[in-house]
Amino acid sequence: MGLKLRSIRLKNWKCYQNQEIQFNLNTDKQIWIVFGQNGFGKTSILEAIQWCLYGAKAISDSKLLDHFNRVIVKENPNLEMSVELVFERNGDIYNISRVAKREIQGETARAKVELPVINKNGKNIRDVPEKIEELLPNSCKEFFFFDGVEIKRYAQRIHTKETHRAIERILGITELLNLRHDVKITRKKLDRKFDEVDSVNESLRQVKQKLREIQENIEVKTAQLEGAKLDEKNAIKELEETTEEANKIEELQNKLEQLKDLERNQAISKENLKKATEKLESGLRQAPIPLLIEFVIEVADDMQSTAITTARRSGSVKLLRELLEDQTCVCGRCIDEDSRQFIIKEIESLESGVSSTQEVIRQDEIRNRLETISDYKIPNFQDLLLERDCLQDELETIKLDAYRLKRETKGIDREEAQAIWQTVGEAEQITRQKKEQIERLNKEIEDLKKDEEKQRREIEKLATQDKQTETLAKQAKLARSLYEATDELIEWRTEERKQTIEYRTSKIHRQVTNKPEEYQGIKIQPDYTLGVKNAVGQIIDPETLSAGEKEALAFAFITGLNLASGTAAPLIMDTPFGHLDTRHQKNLITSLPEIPSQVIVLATDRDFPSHLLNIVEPHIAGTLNIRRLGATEDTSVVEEKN
Amino acid sequence: MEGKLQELAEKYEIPLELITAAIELEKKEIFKQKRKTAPTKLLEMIERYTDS
Repeated sequence: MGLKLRSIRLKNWKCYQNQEIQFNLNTDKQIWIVFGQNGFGKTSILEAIQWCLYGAKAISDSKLLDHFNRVIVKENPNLEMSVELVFERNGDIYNISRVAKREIQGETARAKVELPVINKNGKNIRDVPEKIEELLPNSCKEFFFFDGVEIKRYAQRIHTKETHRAIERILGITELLNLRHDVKITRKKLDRKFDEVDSVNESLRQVKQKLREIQENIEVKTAQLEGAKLDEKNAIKELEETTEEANKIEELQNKLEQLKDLERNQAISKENLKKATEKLESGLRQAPIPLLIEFVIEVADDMQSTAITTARRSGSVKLLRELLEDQTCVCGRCIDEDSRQFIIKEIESLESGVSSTQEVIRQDEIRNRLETISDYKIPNFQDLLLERDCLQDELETIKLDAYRLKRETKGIDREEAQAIWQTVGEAEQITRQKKEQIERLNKEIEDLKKDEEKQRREIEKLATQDKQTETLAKQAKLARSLYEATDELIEWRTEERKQTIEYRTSKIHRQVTNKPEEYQGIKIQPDYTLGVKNAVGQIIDPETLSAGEKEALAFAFITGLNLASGTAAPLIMDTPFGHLDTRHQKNLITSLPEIPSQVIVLATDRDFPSHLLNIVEPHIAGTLNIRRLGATEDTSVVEEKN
Repeated sequence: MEGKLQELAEKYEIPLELITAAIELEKKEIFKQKRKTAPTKLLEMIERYTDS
């Protein structure tokens, strides 16, 4: 079982006059929530825990003066305040308490802090800071107690020195790094001792001098190698940046070509749109036709029959005129005067009903047009409108694309593109030179080390001539072997622990990210900064992630480190979710039950909306509420929430 | 860790108990507020192992 916080007692600490907060551990549930509005004293609880454990490292004595309860201090200026924590681990009870007294000296007040007291199962323990450091290392406190607003910084490119050390501590290599450092000091001491031995003979002294020169040379070459590696790293970075820049410019050149194509397409689209609009307008002008179509057909038919009658009458008039001109009847006999007069009357009668030729032509035209109208087919207006709208959209898109491309390609010319590729070529050359320099230095160091080994063997051989030098040579050899073994152990341990942390962090990250399908996992870089592996295994710089995704990554990293710490310490979070977007908020909250440590969340209502609170309800061991006693009093109390 | 220490002790020809004791010493030193005695203690350890 990991370390769990069982209770906190606060006396005259900030807004708490005499408060005990109990976390009943007789349950399998791990999550505790302490609700309180802003300014009610949530952060004061977190500060109290840190001060009790780490004293001035958490809150300096000068700042501590502001932490005495303001109400009581008016009545009693020489006030005493205290914080007492009770932890439980593997059945053992640890009670840690710290007291501070406010003392008035002349006009000024100061806080006098007593040393913390710790007892295990009721028995006092000596070396209190050491014991606290063992239970909850100060260097790792940021992975046990964290501020929701601050955690984003873990997803940054560079960690602070403190974070760097804290991660080394979690990796379990702090003691190994210290051992390597201390063995180095020990080796120097042994060297000095060797030099001080009176009995060292001349030939041994000469070999030692030669060895020292070789070692100095190795140090110089190693420093050069480190410098060359750094230069190579910078050169590679420079190369990547210039290549990226060159690719961008190349891309812009392509965009310029695209812009020309777009402008051509724009002209074609405009023409098409014009045609479609005309087609639509023509259709709309003829829109009433379907309503008149029956009437038009009737008129056309009427005109048709009139035309036929007129044609028939014209034929009759023509025939009668021919009779008059021939002076003979159709029966072959001569036409008498009566018949002649009758025919003339008939012709007059028929001609009065016949329209003029012009009129006939006009009526024929009208009739033809009416027949065309009667054949009219109703156009599909929906299709016409759709066609016009599509063309309008297309034109709008082209316009927007052209505008965007014009902006993006502003000020780009061919010369600049050529110049940047020249810079890329130079950067490639520098990178190549650095690589060659590193290879050369590695070879030189390797040769020097062989020479060093040869000199050492010579020293060991010569040292056997004297008991004292023989012993010192053996000690130096042992110290050197210990140094090299520690060096290899650090490398192995770091890699092994990093894999554990990467596994833990990746597992939590999959739960809290909005895009689990896009990421393969978390990679911890050699400088302990974070990288996210995308779906194809490339490492993404966390700086490029959205704010919500950065927080999800940082949350996964902190909880992953906490779980890998071996301390299994409580995770105490101060307002961690209220400022997140709803999806990340849900992801983070629903991941809480997966954390095997005790989790205490100091929260506002915004951190736990009711629908999310219901989801984690089965895993909640207890819910507490901070209540303000009155508007004028600076006093809060913590109660169980009903 | 134990397996790795065994492997390194054999590779570098150092007593396993020396490297184990040295790491334990450094672990204890971490918890101390002032960490300056370790090099002296390490030298004593090396001397002790060389004497025997």
